[in-house]
Amino acid sequence: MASSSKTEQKKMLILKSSEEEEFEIEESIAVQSGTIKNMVEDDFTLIPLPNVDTETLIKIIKYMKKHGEKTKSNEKDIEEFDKEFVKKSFTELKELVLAANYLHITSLIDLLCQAFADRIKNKSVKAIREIFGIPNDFTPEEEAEVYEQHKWAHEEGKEHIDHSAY
Amino acid sequence: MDLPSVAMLEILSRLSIKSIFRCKTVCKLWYRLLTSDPLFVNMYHTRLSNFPSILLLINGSVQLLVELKADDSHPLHRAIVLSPEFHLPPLEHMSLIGSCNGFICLLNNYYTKNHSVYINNPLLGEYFKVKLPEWERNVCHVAYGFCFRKAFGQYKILRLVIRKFRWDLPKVAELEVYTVGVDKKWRNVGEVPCPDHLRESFDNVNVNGVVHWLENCTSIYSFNIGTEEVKPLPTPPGLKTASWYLTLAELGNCLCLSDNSHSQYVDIWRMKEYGVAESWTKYCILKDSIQLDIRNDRFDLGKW
Repeated sequence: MASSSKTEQKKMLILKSSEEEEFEIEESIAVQSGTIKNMVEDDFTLIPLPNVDTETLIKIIKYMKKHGEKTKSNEKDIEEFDKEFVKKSFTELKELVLAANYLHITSLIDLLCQAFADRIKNKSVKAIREIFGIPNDFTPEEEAEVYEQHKWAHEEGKEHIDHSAY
Repeated sequence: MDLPSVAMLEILSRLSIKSIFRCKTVCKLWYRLLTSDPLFVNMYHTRLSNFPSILLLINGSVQLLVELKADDSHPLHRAIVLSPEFHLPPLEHMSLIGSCNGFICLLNNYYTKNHSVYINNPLLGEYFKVKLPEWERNVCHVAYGFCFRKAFGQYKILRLVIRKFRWDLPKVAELEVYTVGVDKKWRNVGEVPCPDHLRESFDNVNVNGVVHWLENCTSIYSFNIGTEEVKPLPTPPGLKTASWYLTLAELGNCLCLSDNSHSQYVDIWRMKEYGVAESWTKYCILKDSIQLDIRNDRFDLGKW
């Protein structure tokens, strides 16, 4: 009997960004996203993602592909990848957090939020407002009062306070 | 482009307490979220393992609350001192009764009848005084414990009261319980045998939701935080050491007992199967193998 080597037909999905660009990806990798997993269970193969733009989707696919091939031996490798992955501007990080949240990729949400926290922990209040695009809605008196309440938290001391928004 | 509140909270809950307090000045929404939003407090507590805090005692009294945090830019972990006036009640002689789930319970002025108990939340920088029962003349000793009932999100304070009603009668010990925010007053849960030796607080020996303390070398008493059932447990069979040398502890969710009565070695017993006397297994540490300068200290088993 002729033995035909059975090449496993890997199920592929198509992800469509908000700008209508399409990307092919293995289903087994794409289901790292809870949102995509749900749609697959409802028999979708073309997954429209109107909340994610092309640039961000490319990055997310890259993340999922890397984490999809996770084995016991390449843990260090993936750690390095994660470290490099978060070296992005705040704007890019924000887009990624929004997308990861929408797509329900728990490990990515964790990675991004931790990176964010690490980057803002020593920032001054002004810099934090700029980074998150938050207007100051305290009146000068209110702001002074809140500042006084927690003066110790604003003291520079040995901790360097970073005023830059980058 | 605004991040939704949930994403914001995911980020903020990973900051150290000092950074969180600084962020309160950013805007009114953040002030509200960081001060009283229950989702934030929940998220923060589930990440507590990232920033353990320790209470520093100076001259036997709690003085400072220190938060340990890892700093990537420094090779060593760096400590941040939380402003004492803000995060701890301004009291004189404070000792720690216990801590669970991000709350700490403090005891002030223990050796007077006007001692007081406080519950403190270092994250929010708030504390309140617990209403204690009226002091009675026949009370000769009081010890406190603090525990958390996970299933109901309730905090309970335990009070072991030893009374001597008359000079010729033996001492009587009773256990009282107060569920924070639920009970209007302290409830008497029943009489317990008078422990041989008890300090001002129960050692934090919580195994499987049950608080334990040593009665004497032959029995351990326990209080189930959920059912409030009080019942005894056996110590290692044949143990005759005076309870002064014994310390109860919890390690790896097993009940452990250390016996420091021997000059050459320390015995550590571990109850492998909860409640089964025969499952007490002994481990022995030669005192010679312990560093000289800590060898004579009281051996307290604890978790790092």
